[in-house]
Amino acid sequence: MIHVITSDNRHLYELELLTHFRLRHEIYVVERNWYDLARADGLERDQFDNEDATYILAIDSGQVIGGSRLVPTTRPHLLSEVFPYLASVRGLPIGVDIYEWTRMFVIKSRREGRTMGGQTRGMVICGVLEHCIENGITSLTALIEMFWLPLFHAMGWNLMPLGLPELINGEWSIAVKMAINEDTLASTRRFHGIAGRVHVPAEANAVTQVTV
Amino acid sequence: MTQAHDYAKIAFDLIDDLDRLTEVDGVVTRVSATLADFGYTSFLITGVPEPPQRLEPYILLNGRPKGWTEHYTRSNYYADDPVAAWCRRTVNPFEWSQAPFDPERWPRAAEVMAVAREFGLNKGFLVPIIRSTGFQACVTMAGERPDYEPKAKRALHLVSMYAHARCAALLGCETDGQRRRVLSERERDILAWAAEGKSSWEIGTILGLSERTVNWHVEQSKKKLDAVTRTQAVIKALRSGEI
Repeated sequence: MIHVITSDNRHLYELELLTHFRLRHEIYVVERNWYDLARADGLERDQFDNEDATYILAIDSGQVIGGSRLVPTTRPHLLSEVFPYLASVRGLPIGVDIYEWTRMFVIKSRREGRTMGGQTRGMVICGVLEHCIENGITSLTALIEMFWLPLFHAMGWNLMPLGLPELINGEWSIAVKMAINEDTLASTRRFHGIAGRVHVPAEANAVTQVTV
Repeated sequence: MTQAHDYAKIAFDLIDDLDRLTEVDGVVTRVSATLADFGYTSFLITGVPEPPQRLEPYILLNGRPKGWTEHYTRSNYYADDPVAAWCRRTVNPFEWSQAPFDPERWPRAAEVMAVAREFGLNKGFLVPIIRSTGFQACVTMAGERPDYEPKAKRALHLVSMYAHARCAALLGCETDGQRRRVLSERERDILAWAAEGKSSWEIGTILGLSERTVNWHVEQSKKKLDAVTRTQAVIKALRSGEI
């Protein structure tokens, strides 16, 4: 199931969030060698992991198996602070209905072979989309490796490049703006064979309401 | 305006236009025109199977000179094409000349490259693509004196990913991995040549079969595809991505 964690309800998810920072370290620093992100505590956390961040976590029987992060483009974010030159052709889209999508991961044991249609990845992507649609987010921006483009194209997404590809951490990468709507969600579900909502039912998060 | 901006503009204009093109023919024309701006006169958008599988059933768009296509197919150059071999080993775009091979140990590879030059394909550039199904594909392009500026190559990298995606969507081949093919390899080869306008006798000559055998395979294909005529079989095979 997919859980959405913001500064409003993060006190309910401190353990899962910590696990998620540790998993990110394993994936991005150990597995993918993004040494810039290495930290002594073995937790991969950067300046955008702050109170503005929204985390979309896939949790199965109490175990974090995948996740993603959304950051408002009206606040400092990766493309605005670190890689603005990647949007040199079209400019960087900024707005209250535009969020930046980063750090999508699935733990190793839940990835399925070389094919990119893995079920857990599909759950995380649908989780991001459901959150966007229910919160009036109409576009996402993202820095992605070029080899991801065929997956997004096959899922029926409309991806607008913002600049030409650049080599980042040894991979050809590009900044894109992704249009998000009901059609995007429907075709993504179809692609992954996901029948309906992946978010936990609202009641499961009801504690949040009580504490507000 | 600097030249660097022109490359990006050409690429972004093409990407905008691709969405509006609903026919494969339109995509061919538009992509050809764009690649010509970069000095490329020949291109191919195709799946890249492991030999001994043949290339021809996996081709999505063929923008190569006719003579080269025929010679390449007839000589089964695909099995010894060092550029295709390197494509199956990397995700990063490369110039044809960067595809490594030792001409002493692999003389056929040297022959493929030499004959390509005879057809005016002096220099080439290839963008590897891994489809969502995990299947290897690519966009490969060549010309006599193409633009090898780094900015041009980055623009072509982008153009290639989008052109492949559009073709894959129009031809429905992103589902390749799931779809069961009904035709045998031989039947696909024969229909692919029939689609090029070849007669049974000509196909037989190309593939080293008798005219009768070719006709028999065509009849089998018609049954499998539920087609009444040879033309209908070719159309159905093209539509379903068999060829």
